[in-house]
Amino acid sequence: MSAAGARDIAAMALRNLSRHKAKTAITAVAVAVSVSLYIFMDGWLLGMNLDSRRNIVSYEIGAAKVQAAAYFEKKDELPMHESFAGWKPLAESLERAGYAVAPRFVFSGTLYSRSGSAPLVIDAVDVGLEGRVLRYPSSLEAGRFPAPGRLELAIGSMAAEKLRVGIPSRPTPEELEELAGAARDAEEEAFVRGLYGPAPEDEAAAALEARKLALKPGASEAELARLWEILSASGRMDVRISTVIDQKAEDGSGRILHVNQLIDASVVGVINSPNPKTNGNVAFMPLDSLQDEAGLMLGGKVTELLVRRSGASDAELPGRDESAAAVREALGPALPPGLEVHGWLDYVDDYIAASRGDQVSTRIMILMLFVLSFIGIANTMLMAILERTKETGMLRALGMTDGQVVAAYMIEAACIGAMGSLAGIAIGCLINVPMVAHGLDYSAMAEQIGGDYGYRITALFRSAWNPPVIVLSGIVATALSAAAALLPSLRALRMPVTESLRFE
Amino acid sequence: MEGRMEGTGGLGALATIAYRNIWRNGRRTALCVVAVAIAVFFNIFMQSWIDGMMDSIEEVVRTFETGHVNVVSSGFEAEREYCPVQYPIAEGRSADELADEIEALPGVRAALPRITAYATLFDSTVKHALLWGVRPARELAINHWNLTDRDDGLVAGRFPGEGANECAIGAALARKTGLGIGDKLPLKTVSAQFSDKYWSPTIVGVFEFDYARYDEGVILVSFERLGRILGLGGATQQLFVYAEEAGRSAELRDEVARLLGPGHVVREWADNYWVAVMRQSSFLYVIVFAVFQVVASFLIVNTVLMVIHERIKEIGMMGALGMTRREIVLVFFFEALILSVIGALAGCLLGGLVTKVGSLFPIDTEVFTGGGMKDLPFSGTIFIAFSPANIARGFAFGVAVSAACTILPSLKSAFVEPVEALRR
Repeated sequence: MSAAGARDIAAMALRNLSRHKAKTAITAVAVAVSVSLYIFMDGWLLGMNLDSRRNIVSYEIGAAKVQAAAYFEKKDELPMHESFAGWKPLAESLERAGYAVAPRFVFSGTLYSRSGSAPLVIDAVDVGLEGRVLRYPSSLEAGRFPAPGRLELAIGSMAAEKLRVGIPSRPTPEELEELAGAARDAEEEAFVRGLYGPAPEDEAAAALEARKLALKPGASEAELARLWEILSASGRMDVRISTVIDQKAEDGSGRILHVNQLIDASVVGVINSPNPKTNGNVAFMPLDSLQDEAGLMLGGKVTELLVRRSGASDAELPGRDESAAAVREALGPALPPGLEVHGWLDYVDDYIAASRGDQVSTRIMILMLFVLSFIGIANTMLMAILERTKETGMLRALGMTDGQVVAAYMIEAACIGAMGSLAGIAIGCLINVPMVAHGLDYSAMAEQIGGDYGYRITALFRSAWNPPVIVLSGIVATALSAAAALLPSLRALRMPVTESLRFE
Repeated sequence: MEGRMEGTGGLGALATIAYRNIWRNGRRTALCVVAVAIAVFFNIFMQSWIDGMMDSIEEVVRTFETGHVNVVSSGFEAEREYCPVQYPIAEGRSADELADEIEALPGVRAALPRITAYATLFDSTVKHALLWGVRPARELAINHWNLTDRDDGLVAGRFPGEGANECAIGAALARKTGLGIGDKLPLKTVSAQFSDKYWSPTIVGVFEFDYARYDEGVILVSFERLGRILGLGGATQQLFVYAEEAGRSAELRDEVARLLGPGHVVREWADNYWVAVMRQSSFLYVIVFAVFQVVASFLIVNTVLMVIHERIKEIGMMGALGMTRREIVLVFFFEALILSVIGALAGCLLGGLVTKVGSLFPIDTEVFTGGGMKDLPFSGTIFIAFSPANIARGFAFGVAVSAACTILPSLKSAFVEPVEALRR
């Protein structure tokens, strides 16, 4: 077929489109709805997952963990007796290979504050090394990160609020009285009261119900530090950790020995990072403060080493050089038997399940919608071709080849698809703009569930731009539309030309 | 002519014409029917799935979280997070007296006192658990604790006797701690007077409620015993009121609130955060369903437009023979309506079949929680809800949306001039 011939056929197809404008428009709208919804849902899922993954790696796990095989098996139960000693040589050989390493001893216990108690997971961390792998130590809402060697805690913001430690940002009038009562003299009391005012206007409705006050937004760091000091002096930050130390018996019988332990500590900081897992019922303590009888009798043992390539960018997910296999290889013979390396994805079953569930259900939904749209195009083309049986016969009688006839119909269908796709892409992008910029606020749900809903996003679920999918969805919709014309046009060609001409 | 039409059945005759017209192009009809059927099927299936999830949440909430009407003191409500025991309901009055008074209200089946308190476990790899002080015999007369099997959930032994130094623990807790029937469970809790209470009840039973939060972290003990240990003096921390009819919960809530007076927080189960969230999001699903149904209706709209175009001569003839414009419009509208009814019927049939079969197979919620989301009031197993009401609603919704979409295109036939059309 010559270029001129192809142009003529395309022109004919375009002219045919305008024969029933309403029909063409409705069919195209159906395609546009599918394409725009697909673009929106894909961007939404991508945004949630990208943010979640980044937050898991940067705030929760790093790229990989070194743990005892026996610990990994029961990791949900936090089996602290499956800890291991001698982590320093491992860390050194990993650091030589260009990795940043942070040791941890994870245990659970009950935290008693002056006003209540709550079960908590406590991560004992090496204060100096932690910040090289994870970013949460600098995500402090108030106070500071614990200092090495001291029995100090930084606790998640949701736990702090429940246990009434730290600086409340939205106290009730009764709570403010409690805060003011912490002051040692009249000047301090005036200072404390001066930091709080009525809740801002836009939250008036929520505030009205609970009559809440709010911390003044202009409070300087020095003022907050002073408030913290006043509250701390009143004993508000003093807590007690009640836990049981589990150790394997030295005799090799596998028996677990229990020592009931109470640890007095004080809260020095409140963590509020973009990953809700660090803000729930979690506390962080210096590892070196728990080594002896006053702590957990650790004697240098840790439950895990967190590994990340040193200097890795927060925006990037771990590459191949940070995979469990790469870390294992870097350790080589230094990795003692009984220890294993696992990649970060092995630790986030809850996120993976939530994400996969959403991915599958959403994609099935959109797929159904696509099917509906293409039944629409198929119907439109079926009718158009049937209607023009006589014309088709005439075109063939005048010498148009079967290929040219099929091409004409397919181009016509593709044009409907393309119009719908273009409109769909435009609408999808328009929906995406506010979704990427602002997102949807899920903070109420995050609070209800203690940040435990799979996704690692604290409040705003934002969409992300996914240009390949945006372009591809348009191309696929157009191609599928063209394909919808294939069967009916082939069927029309099966009719002998003479029959077609007589067709009524 | 007009009179004869009326005589031969009026609308019935028009519908007959419309029905015959459908079969003039089988393929087109088939595509329209399939599209409507897919949309109706999808909507019925989605609704059944959502209902299954909501049923599970509502049942868990009613059984474990709130009852039909939940009573606590304002002091407890303010610190609900850590289950304080120092704020009993109607301080100074015994739980039984209070329960009797509430049970005397019309429409109340039972008012059950419960106490929950955190406990720190000793000599155990599991560090903490929740003490759940209940009266098993009375509770089980009202509730199933295992919502999947609809039974008491006991897998071994028995529940603790009234006032006895005994407890029953969840199967997952038993597995993690390695404890079983006959073992002691040493623990510490904090009393209403803020003193540490050490207790070591004997395990007499192991239960599995198929509700992860309870199976993993609850120690079920006698209400009397726990109340004594915590120094509640016969009072209770919470009251779970069960109504004869769940639908009357809101009225009952107001009556109970009046009875108890100020200083208490009285809620009905529908006020629970998760129940409210699920209910609020149902309007979102209606939007999704509508999008599906409208896209499917586009096919019928197109069909009507094409049919009017194809049969323009016939319209002229019908008009020339005396059919009014209204009747002509109705013929085309009925044609669209019949298409959507057939499609919706097919969708209902398929939807009914799939949800019926689906409702027989349990779905493990672990698939979409991955062991996380412990605070979600979900039972470990949910079933797709098979409900004739859903199917009927899916049918009505499908037909209504399609009909609404086709009114406008059908009207197009009214603008055909019979004399002109005959010449075309």
